[in-house]
Amino acid sequence: MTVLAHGVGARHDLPLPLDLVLQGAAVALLASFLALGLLWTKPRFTAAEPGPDRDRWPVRLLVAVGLVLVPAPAWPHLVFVLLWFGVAVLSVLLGPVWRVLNPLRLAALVTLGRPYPERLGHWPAALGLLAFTWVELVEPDALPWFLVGYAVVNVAGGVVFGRTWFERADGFEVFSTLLGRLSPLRGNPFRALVATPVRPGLVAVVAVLLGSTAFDSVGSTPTWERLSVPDTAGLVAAVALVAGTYLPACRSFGGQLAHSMVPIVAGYVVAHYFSLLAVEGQRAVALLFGATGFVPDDTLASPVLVASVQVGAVLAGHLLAVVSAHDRALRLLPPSRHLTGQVPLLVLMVGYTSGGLALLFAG
Amino acid sequence: MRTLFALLTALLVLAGCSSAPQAPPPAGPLVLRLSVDQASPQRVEAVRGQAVELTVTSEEPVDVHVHGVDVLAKVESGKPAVLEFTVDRTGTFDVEAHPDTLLVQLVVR
Repeated sequence: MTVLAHGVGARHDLPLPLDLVLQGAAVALLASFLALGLLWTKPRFTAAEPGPDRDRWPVRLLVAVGLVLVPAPAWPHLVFVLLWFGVAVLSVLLGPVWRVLNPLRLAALVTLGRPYPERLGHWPAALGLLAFTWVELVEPDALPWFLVGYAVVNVAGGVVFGRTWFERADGFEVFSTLLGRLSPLRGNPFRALVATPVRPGLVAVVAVLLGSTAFDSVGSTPTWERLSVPDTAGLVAAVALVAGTYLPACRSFGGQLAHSMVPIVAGYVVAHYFSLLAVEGQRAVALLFGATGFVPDDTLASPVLVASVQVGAVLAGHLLAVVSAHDRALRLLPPSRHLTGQVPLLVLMVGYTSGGLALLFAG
Repeated sequence: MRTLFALLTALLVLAGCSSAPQAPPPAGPLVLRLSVDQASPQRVEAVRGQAVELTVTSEEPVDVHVHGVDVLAKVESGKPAVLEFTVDRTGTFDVEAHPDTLLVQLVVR
């Protein structure tokens, strides 16, 4: 069995043209520093947590019944394409959908109701996401084991700690809820972003999400293959690099600015998975209906469209991130340091964005 | 807010100006000789519809596979495998010796 791109699918995107990468990086740099000078000088966005959703357990029951009927060959596509990226896109558009769909949340109906330890924060979610991205990018054959482990851990967590477990410790729900803050349908995304609760492990979640997409680019290049470094080491190093650059750049704020990385995560994720959803998403649907010989249509994966979506998503994410970080920094910094205090974070964001674009070009 | 829109517009205009250049029509076949034992993977550019001819040698018997193009060949020791195919869609395609030795990456534009 060979290691496939993103666990499923046999084709990678074309490398981005170098001129597009350079232009993109230049726009990111220019926009960031223009924003610093031109944007408002008093914080504008007060935190507004999007209203709590009604508990819709019949939906989860329906999903649970549906999962029993999924044919075995469809599982990798269901998880790697529809769950991982499909849920991410739906969350950005509609809000935190995984919370509504996750059938394991049914476990919270019969909970013991123990209080969830504050110190754990999002750490279990970060570990769960790291495990999932390892399966996706390094060892897709381990998917059944991962799914069994994920189900067991989350049912146990749900029974012991109730809903709070899923809100803080379920990697997919934390991912979906973070991206759901960007949904324009649920009020001003900037207000929702500022409302992100700063819990232990939040930076780790962001680092895993950014680092794993970065490694997704690096790991599929011939240059990486020539180095013969184990993929697991590469994935962990990429995550450590993101955390190791974020923490010093934001050391006085800690996790207080982590929410502003969410649009960058969303931009990266869309850039990396757009063509996968466009092509393998069709196959996923065919497989769900038991059709194994289906040949997807490639029209949506045309080079110009893919490159535009990639550069557009990365830059749009960067712009939203810069605005969101700017507003938050105004609240956190004393007036004398309003401008200078933002520079390290701005440099970091430009670094992530141009780095991300460069990785889409790298060979 | 207006500044934000101005920035977004500037960004879209820039992105629009840089569409990929039109690919030239396919020339002769792309011929590559690859070794599984001394794999040194590179990216090699090809044009959509161009014929590709890979000759793969290996000391050990091994299966060679082109991802995304259902071509499979067996290499025996001392008996190279020849894979002939055309790629009729764009993308980056891995040529691998099983289980996971990358031999070359075809960048088809």
